[in-house]
Amino acid sequence: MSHSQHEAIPYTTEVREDTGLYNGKLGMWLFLASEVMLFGGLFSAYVFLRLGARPGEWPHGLLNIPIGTFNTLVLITSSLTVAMSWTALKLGDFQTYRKYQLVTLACAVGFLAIKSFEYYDKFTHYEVWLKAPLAAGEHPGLAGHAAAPDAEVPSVIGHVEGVGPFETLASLEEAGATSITIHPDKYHYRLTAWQQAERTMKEASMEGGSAGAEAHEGLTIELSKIARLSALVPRHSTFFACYFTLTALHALHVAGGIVAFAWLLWPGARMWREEPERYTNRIEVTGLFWHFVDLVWIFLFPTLYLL
Amino acid sequence: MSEATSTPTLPATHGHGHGHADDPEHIRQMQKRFLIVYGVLIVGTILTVSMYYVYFEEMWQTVSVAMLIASVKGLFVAIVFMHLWHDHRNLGTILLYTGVVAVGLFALTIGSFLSVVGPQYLVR
Amino acid sequence: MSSETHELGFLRKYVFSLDHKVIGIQYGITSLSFVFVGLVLMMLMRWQIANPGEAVPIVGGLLEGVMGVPAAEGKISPDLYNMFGAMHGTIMIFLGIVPLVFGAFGNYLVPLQIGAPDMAFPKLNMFSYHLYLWGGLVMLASFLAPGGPAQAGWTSYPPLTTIIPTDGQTYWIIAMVIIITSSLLGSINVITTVIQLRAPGMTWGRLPFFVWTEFVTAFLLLLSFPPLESGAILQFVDRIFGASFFMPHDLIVSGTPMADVSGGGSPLLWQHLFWFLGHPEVYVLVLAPMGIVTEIFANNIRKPIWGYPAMVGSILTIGFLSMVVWAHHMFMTGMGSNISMFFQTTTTVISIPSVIVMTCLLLSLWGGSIRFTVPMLFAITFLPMFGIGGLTGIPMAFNSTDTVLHDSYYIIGHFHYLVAPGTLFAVFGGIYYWFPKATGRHMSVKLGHAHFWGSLVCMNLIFFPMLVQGLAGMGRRMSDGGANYSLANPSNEGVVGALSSTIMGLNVLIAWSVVALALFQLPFIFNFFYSIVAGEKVENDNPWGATTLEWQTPTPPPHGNFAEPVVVYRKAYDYSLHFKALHAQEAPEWGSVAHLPDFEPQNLPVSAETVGAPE
Repeated sequence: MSHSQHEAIPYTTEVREDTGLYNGKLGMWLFLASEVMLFGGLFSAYVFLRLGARPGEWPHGLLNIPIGTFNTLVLITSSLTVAMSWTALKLGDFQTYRKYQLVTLACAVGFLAIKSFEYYDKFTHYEVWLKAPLAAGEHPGLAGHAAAPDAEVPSVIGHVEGVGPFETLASLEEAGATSITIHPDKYHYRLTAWQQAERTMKEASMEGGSAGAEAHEGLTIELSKIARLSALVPRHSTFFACYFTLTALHALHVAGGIVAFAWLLWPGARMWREEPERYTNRIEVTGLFWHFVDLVWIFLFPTLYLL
Repeated sequence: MSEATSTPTLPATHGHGHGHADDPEHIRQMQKRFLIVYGVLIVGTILTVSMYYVYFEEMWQTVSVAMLIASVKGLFVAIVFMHLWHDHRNLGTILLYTGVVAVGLFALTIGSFLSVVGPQYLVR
Repeated sequence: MSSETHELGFLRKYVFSLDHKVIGIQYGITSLSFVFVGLVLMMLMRWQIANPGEAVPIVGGLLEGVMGVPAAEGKISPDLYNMFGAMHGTIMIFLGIVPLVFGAFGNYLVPLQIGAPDMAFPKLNMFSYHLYLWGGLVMLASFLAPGGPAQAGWTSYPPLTTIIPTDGQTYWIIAMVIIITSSLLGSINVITTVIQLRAPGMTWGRLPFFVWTEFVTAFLLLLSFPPLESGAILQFVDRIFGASFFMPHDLIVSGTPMADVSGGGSPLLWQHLFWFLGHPEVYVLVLAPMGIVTEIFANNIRKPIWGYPAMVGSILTIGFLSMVVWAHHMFMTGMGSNISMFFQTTTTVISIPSVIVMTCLLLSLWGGSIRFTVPMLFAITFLPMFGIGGLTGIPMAFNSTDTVLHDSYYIIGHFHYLVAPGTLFAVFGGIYYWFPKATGRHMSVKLGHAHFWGSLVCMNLIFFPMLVQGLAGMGRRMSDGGANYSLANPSNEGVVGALSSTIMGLNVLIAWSVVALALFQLPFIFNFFYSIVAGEKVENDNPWGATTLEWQTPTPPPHGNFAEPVVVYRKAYDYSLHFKALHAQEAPEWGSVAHLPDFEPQNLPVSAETVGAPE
């Protein structure tokens, strides 16, 4: 059945002369065109919301840049190994192809593992908005939360003692808590990147320097004084909503790529013996998808992490 | 849409559009090119990250530099890793059209927003 | 080939079939069923509008049983009216018409008309049908969700959609994502098929116009659906994870500020993402019907379509322009004047190519020997009906007039003229036209006439009064049909602009016309099923005497479509070339050409026996 199907439909493997393509390749490129529009829509949404944000309210500097950079390199490497594995097949060398693809799979799984580690860190990292602002001098940890020493601090960001992921004010109250103890971050995103850098340089120039926020005791806040509380999850702000939606959708694509490559590497590899040209084409087409996933990340990384 | 011939041309059943593309020498050359692009991408990543630590006067300058580097990286991936360079013009046409539509979506959406709030948003 | 077909079990043959024709028929039957569901919802709504606050006769009890509280005592509450309104739009557009014109006709005809054995990716084809089916079932299941289905209109504008506490809207989003994915896979398949699988000799200039329309439609779906998918994903995150993509700062609902919401989102963002699909979608609804009408025209006027290159150029232009007109749906949101001017201009410009297509069809009639078969009746009616729909749309292209007309019944009348007596008539015509090829039997002409004339009269009695009501100022979303703003309400006595009893009386006329319209569909439904088993058998494989390739196959076409490899030698509509020869004085006298058939199939080689050089 499937054999006759494949015989009946032309250009599944060979190239049609006037279009210069085989069916699968055109199909994949069309799919990628739709993906361009999908991510284009999301990217437009991001810029739309970024431009519409109130001054100073757009969080920045909360993502882990070294980890993000490392993940970028991991993904680029996997793209290279995919390209190389395809050329290995073109040369008829299945063993080399296999080695390259194992590296690809390792990179892809590694990417997701690193990403989930990053995610979990955000899930347990909280911002607390207060009903009445605190004074910056009230607690030594709040120095990095205000532009001036006597300025008001309307919200505190940091890790909360003994509180797991995804809690809200309502859920904490329901659990019977009356107060939380938060360890404020070194800086709040209220300070611009430039202000943060200036302070860091100043601190470094001072002898010994301060040990940073971590050394301070936690700041205890009663729940009755809190207006809103949210981990760095989509609920926190439109920035984190964008971050999670975009990266999770990207991660879904990575997962899809893993499934496809793994299938082609193990159960699907039978085709290599029967129709090597068709199998090579499949790797090429799946590779196109993989490079596109890489390409999306190349734009996501600076947009989300660095701007 | 050319109709130059009235007698139909039968496409070759096993025509190889690539021609020389499959010979081992060409493929080894491709591998070399892949490695070079890999190098370019790594350098690009380092540039992107270091850009974060460079202070620009205006936000739009930072954004432009970041997007410029990303676009160059993206072009390398598309042209070499996805070997668009070797592929048929038809693909290029489809992708160009997609690009125009995507830019239209982006520009008009953002444009309609800016047309309401005024261009001062661009300065920030 | 045929021995293989017999080996397939029932499931493989009819449910999980890889054959594009079976999949096309699956699409057709499923989408027609959805159109029927949409029709039922519409009947209930129109009944409520004509008799506000009264219990629905006959089915009232059933309604209460299914829908629960919103249908208490068998009455249609305003909430239930909103649900029906939202679902009528969603079902008709996304589950009815689009799969009908793209999934059913596209799947069945495109490979046949280009001389291909099947679609390029048969398994993907099967998969996209099943995705569509399941998306539709999720959408239907939302009727049973606690609190009922989506109720914020087919456009699902936030923040209303986000703050509705019931689950119906979440069902809607999930169903939409599934349906969009299905459409995307379908469009990839159609484009690849048209580009790659054209038979030898089937150049772009020889493609039947219907294939061109499906090709452009596929591109529209491919590029405009993903932004709506991204919008749906964002709305999903808003609803499930409490994000604020579409929730503005300081939103107050029923007097209470929204708690635990970050704000900072923009409702306008959704409108952009939605209408970026929404407008190309309009052309998805009309392009393929234009193609169907063209096929029926060429066959029934027995002469080549006039201005084929202009028509192809026009739909390509429509394909591009439709991507940059979407914000004319958003004039009321108060965009800046420059950007409004841009969208106003593109919107006005896009009417030109549509008019070119219609004009070419109209001019094609000139000098034809028209056969008024049932398909031709539907096709020829498409022209004036589409004309009314299109021309009433022009005031909507302008910012100033749109502001007045936008939320009135006028716009309802306008787009229903395009979709109901326009698109649906073309679809009916298409069904009557290709039925003999798919089944080997003709549909009854008498029942066809009853169906046609009844539907034509009723549709006009339904939609024309709406234009009038709209101009009189009747708003489009009122569950009481404007009773509250009419002179029937004592507090409106002496109020200028209150709806008169004549205008309100039109509601009753529309309601009865709706009932009559539904009754006139019975002959069609009966005809359809009766003719499959007992219709008059076709005399040969090409009963209409058509030139395009789908008629040059065995009837019904077997798996793999063509008995022998196809080669194309001619343009799509080589009708009555002997007349042309006579006219051009290439043939000496009538007697020398009278014995020749008046059509030359695309795969007929050029020889001394045929007249007229292939172009």
